[in-house]
Amino acid sequence: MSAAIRIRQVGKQYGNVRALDGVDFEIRQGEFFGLLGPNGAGKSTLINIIAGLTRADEGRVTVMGHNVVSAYRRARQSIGVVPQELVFDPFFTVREVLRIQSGYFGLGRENDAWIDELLSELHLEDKADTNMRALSGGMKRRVLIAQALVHKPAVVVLDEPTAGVDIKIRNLLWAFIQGLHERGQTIVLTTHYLEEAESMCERIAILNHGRVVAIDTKQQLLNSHLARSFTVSLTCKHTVRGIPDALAGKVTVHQDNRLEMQLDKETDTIIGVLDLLREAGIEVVDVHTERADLEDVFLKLTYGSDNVL
Amino acid sequence: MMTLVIAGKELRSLFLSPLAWVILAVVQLILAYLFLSQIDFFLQIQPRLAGLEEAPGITEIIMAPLFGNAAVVLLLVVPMLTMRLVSDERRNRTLSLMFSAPLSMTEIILGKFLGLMAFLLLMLVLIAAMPLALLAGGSPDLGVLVSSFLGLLLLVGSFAAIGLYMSTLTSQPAIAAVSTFGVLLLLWILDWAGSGRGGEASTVFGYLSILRHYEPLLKGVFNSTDIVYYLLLMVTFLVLSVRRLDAERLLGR
Repeated sequence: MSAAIRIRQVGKQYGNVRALDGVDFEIRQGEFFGLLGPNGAGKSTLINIIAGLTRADEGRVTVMGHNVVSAYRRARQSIGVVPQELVFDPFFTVREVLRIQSGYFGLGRENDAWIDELLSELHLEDKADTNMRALSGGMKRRVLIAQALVHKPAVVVLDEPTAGVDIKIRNLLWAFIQGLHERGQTIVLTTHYLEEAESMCERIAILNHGRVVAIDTKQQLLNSHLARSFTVSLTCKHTVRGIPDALAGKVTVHQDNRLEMQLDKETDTIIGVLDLLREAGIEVVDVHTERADLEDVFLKLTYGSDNVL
Repeated sequence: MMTLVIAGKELRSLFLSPLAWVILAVVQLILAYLFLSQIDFFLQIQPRLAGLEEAPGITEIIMAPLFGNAAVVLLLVVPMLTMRLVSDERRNRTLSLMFSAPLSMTEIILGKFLGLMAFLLLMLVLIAAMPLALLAGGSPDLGVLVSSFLGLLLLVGSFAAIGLYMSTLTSQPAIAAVSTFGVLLLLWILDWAGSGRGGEASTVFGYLSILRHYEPLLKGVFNSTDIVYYLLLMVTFLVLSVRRLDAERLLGR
């Protein structure tokens, strides 16, 4: 399948800061793609370039095959962006805002039925004639999502869509976005909630210091060498003294009767560890293991080292 | 087509804010007061005028001062209408919603300009209704009325273009208003600079002055250089506005 978004060697400089450096990847059509990275990694700059709010200094970006600079009209017809901030025009009602946005795409009254559908899917129908100023944060967020979808774009980019909304609304939004994906829309998501990226995205790119440090399917990222370790927490009967030499290097926390160890999935087993401890006369009363999750991968890639793949 | 959507949105948002209504009312009130006092003045001196040959009539005594005063009032008022155009959208960050739509900067700027001009045109029609009312009791020179109206329209068009450009430079509407007012006033009084001394400087400053090109039109003198002056002024500031927003997109700030 051809690419929904193709990013080729994109670079962007802000004064002395290299916001993006040789970013190069593709997002496939119909994919649920996650774009992760710490604050200042370049995610928003990249999204702004894709959306046409900023121009790249180097490289090129296409959306559904249309160059975002030279064929900007077609590119922007194909993409809808939900901005991170709650931006709104204070003078208009929800329906007016959607009609105006629809007008920017050359659509008139014929789009009203779709606007009504969006309003009802986002549970906004009873707020359709309410002024934007009178809406709560969660409602404004939903209006922004409707605004991004008003022209039925093939690709939807959501920049931190659940920042600052309560759990109920967040669940509603996720269900809605999942629904869009099931209907075949390409979804690009940036989020700080890693468990969300983990549960929803099929492929994930991690940006750091303006570079792509990892890009793979979620499972591959979790299985990669970066995530092959796992953590074991042990509670012992008595205060632990004299840890066997074979284990000493793996202990990360040692506090009275509690031990925490970082083990390698391929070479270590829990049984082996327990045997060694028993031989050393340490009686274990509770064992708790934790598999690496996306957060560990993320932290390792972005804070642990500055390695670039 | 999309330009008209933006123009329609601008016009609607003007009418949805109380500011536009207040401005419309205040302008009408002040100009009606000045208009009525000119009528009063004319009625007082009418018997004396009757004896004169080539005596000035209602066109010169009532209509010309009305359009002259309207220019001064609009010089004060237009910056308050233009200040929000771009700066407010930048402050609310709604500019990004427009920038990510398939619109060119030229369409955005032209749309905003035309929306405001539609509002100003309405204001001018209300102003022109006053001298038109004179038709009930006298015979004002309709040719002069048309040329004065055209002159005022070109003048406020230039005010609006300058105001729009100033609004693209900042995210603070108040700063946009004050700087627009400053530039307009400077263009207004520019010809004072060389006056008295005469010579080339005086001619140049006189030519650049925004008022010098308005006065002939108030007298019904239709000179194409005056029209070209205003059109050039408008095009220049509209192009500068487009360039300014384009540069913003390039820098991404």
